[in-house]
Amino acid sequence: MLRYAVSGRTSVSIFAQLLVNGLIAGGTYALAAVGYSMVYGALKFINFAHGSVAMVGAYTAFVLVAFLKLPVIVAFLAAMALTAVLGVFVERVAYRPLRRAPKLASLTTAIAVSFVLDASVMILMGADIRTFSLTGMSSFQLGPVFVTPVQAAIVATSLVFMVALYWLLTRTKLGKAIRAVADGVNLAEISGINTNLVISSVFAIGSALAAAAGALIGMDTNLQPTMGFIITVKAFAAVVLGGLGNVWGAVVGAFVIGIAENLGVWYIPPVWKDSIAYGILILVLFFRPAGIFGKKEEGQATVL
Amino acid sequence: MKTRVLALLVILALLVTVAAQCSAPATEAPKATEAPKATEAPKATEAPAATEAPKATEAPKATEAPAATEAPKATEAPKATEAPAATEAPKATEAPKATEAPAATEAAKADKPAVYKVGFVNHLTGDGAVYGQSMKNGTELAVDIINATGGIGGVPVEVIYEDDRLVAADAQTAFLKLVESDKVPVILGSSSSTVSLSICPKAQEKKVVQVSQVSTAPSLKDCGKYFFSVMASDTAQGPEWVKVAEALGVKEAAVMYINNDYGIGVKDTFVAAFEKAGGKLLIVQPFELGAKDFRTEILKVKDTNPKVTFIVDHVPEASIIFKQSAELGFKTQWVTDVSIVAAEVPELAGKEAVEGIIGLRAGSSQTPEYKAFRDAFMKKFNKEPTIWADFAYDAMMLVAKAIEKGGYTSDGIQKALFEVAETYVGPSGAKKFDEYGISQGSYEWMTIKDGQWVLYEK
Repeated sequence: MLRYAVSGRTSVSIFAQLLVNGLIAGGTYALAAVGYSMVYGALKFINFAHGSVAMVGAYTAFVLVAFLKLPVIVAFLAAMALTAVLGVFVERVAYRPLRRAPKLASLTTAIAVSFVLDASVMILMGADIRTFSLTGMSSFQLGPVFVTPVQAAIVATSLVFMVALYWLLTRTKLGKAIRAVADGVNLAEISGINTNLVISSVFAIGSALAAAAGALIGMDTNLQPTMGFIITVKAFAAVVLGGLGNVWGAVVGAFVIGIAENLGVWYIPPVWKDSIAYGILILVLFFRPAGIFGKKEEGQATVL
Repeated sequence: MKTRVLALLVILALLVTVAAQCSAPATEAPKATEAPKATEAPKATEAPAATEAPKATEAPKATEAPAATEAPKATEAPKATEAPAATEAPKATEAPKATEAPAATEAAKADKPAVYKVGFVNHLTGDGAVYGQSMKNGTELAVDIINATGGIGGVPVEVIYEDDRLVAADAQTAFLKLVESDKVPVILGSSSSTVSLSICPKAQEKKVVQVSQVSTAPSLKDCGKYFFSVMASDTAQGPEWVKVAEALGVKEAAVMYINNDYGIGVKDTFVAAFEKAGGKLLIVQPFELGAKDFRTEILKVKDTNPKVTFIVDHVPEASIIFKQSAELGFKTQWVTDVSIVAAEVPELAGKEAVEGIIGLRAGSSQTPEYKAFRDAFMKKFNKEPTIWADFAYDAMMLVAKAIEKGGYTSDGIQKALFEVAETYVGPSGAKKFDEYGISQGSYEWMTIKDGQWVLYEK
């Protein structure tokens, strides 16, 4: 086996392609990870249903494109909006009643929510694999690198949304409120902030971004009701790597993992691919237990 | 601090889950038999073949009132076996009437419940859903035909469908439910060899007959006397690929394989056979089940510039690999194993990405039995037969015939299966079992033309 496993040369063009592939993977991880991280920042609990919410977003976009024949861009934005509503609903029904309960309770509910979402989509849409069947999507060449329009969209969308999110968190009243809630729910409440509204907004924004990630992954590859799990796994790794609750840490973590996976598989068998993400994670946690950008103590996690 | 501990615990839990996901899944291995058998077996059984196919639907009738067979056959049986029924009908009614029918009536009369329940365990959801749903289609079609033609000696068949999600533990739970609660003496399934193997010891212990439609791992033959598989267990796909390489006139090729028991098995036999035939392998590249991003793996293969690339895979991963290869400008002649010759592949990968790929198909699509099956399938489901639905159909038909002949008990069915399969030829071919309860088979070469799988013209 091994005699075929190692390719002799690694030319610049291949390195460039690997790097771009890593950016594409990182872009999808980043979109998913940001929402994950915001929820942790605001509520200090790990939303294991996040990947499933992304999956629902992907299927919503698919239904709008395949059955209602909406243009892809319109369907994409509509899916984000609808999934935002779903996120708010899930928080209201499944997490809010448990907000004062131990965090383990919400964590368990989150796992339950992910099962409910996966099963609902499976019942509604069937277990078959689905595909967007987008036309005119053949790849174009940038120098030595092949990229498809969807892949370009993945990187562009993740960058645009990151900038928009930065603006939202730093320049708007809602952003300030979100950061205040992340610093301490009780203090924020005393200061007259409607924390329920703020937390609902966090879920709306996070779910919309998750929907974007899910829909883009779906367009780039395909759709399956079980696709949420792997999104959760990757986003979780990115979030912990970057520092729980820190949005920019999540973005950096996502790109680090995406690039490391793609470069790594060039040299080692792909069976280790998921281990690369978690290997890096464990190494970083050794030296920086709170992640790359994380604050040291619990309760100090901030969104920015 | 508490959060950190919690987070680490969660990571550990996740790692365990991921590891379980990686090690457990799919290994179904559709493999047909050696090529020589392929050409010989059908020839040898051609005549009985013709007589057998109609018998599958008629036998129940024949036992009760031979005269009455003619009328319903004209209206209902044609659904299933139009072609053979039309031409071979006389033979069909004669032979079974004389030899088998009396025995069948006696056995069936012994104990007749209101309905014969048959268990079914397969991957109805999850990564193997393409295969499990297809097995369900084939089984449903067979049940329709059996019940429309009077059931088994007048008793209708009911199949209880259970999902194993391509997870061994779920399959065991489903199996126990079927056996303990529904009290079935026989179950159909599963598809994946790994999953079938996980049920098998329990089936031996509970003395329940297990008929797998497409499990082909060689180790299944040691499973026990209650195990049967209607798809051939062997490692002939590799040698068949060597023939394809010869037909294409290539001495150098690349191989990509899915990293599970099935993929490794096919890859190993091909590597051995190809190198023995003087071929040179440019790269042998594994990839993982359930992944969605294969770009780096593809780039490694592309880097060796193979004219021909052999790939053993499952539908979900293969579709993405073909799509991403096209996106990365990797041009090669793909040659696939039998798991990929499914209508879903051009749908999922996009027509352009898979145009001209060559694939092995288990069985033959050119027999009258298959053509009749295809017509019946299209009538019921309004689409081309899904992958290996013909094998699921034959598994159900064999079980029905075995219940009729041997009675509705595990041991009766177990014994009768060998006898009824002796001469049975269905849409997936002749199903004669060897001493281990495993059928034989053959391949044909297919290619994708305008997004459709069609016979490959050599």
